[in-house]
Amino acid sequence: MTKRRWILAALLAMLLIAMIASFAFRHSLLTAAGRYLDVSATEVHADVAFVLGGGRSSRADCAAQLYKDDAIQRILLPGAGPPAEVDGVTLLSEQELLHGMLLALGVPEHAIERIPKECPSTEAEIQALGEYMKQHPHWTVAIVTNDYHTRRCGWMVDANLGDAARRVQFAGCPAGTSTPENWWKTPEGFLTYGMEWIKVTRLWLLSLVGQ
Amino acid sequence: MTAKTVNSLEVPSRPHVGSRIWRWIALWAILVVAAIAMRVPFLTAAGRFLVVDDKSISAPTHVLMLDAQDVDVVAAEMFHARPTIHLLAVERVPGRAMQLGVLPLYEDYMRDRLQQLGVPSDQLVVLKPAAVGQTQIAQRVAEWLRGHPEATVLALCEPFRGRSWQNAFRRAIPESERRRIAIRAVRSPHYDETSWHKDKVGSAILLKEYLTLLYGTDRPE
Repeated sequence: MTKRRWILAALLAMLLIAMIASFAFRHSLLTAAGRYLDVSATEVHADVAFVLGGGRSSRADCAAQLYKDDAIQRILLPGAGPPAEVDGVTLLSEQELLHGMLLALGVPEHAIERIPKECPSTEAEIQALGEYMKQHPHWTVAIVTNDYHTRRCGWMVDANLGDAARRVQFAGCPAGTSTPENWWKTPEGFLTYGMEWIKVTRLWLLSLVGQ
Repeated sequence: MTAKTVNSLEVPSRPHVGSRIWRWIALWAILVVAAIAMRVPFLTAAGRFLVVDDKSISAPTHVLMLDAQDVDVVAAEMFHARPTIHLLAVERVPGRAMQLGVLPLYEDYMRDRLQQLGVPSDQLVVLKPAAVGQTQIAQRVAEWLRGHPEATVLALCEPFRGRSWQNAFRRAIPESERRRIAIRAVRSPHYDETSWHKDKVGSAILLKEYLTLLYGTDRPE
């Protein structure tokens, strides 16, 4: 056997071992992949909760619960974008939808504040939050979003808020029944976490080329 | 003659390692350049693969509204063009905003919307019980088709979701009844097969659809 064939055989053996190991430890690996995306705080305490838009209703539930638990004093909503489609129905903007849901969940009107500037993306929402935090330089903020979204959101906070990022923490809401421990078992979880991994990879690659 | 024979039996010298590496680099460079040069046809093919535009039913008795933006507008236009058409919708399991009463239920919303578009309320047939996800929606349609053997249905959907809807209907509807339903894409004003990669929503829908196909089952609503 020539040296070249030995190297090829060794590489193939390593690949086979890696494949067998990945299969044997697939549960741990997939769980780790899911947990990597979640950087939310275990215990949230802040002056303001900033609820990111996105049409996912668990965020309103999560913010309302934080308010009822006295973990936050007020709730800030991002600027109204175009009307959102929720469950096949399109009527309200994200801001109006979240506002209506918070009121229905028992949060008083005086505890809800709205950012007037339109925020068509998560990055625009973070930038709007940065401006708000400049006006309130001592306030701490809990960003309310889905748990799988907190890693990518954290990168955007670091990139856009500078020193103010130290006053930000994340309140992670569950994405339906999908968790980092079971996301690959359901189509909803696979789609949600799969899409998030694509977005995280894209953002990471863009940061590598300096965009 | 002898010398020539000896020469031909000589083992050819192996190319230098450096030249082999350069050959690989050249091959990869050619592949990368080809991929860049052919990106538009590749991206278009990726989009086109997902679109289903079935023209087998030209005069359907019913138009099923699935999930495209402005699907109600297109269905209403079809009704005005041929007022014998009935419109079909599948009741959706209410989400949190509907449960809290912030948004109307899907059926109420659809009836109001179609009335605004000039379609009488009795032209809309809502299939129940409420469904969530493509598989359940396809099952409701399958049950309805069984009870209406004369009906032919044109299902309107978002362009890139045609393939996954086709798969859902294939799973739910027996082959003998499948020819009574055709899928047609409702074109988006913002993107199509050739331009989806320039549009944020179009890219997201296309990626989601490929992930759905990869998973092999249902796309959640």
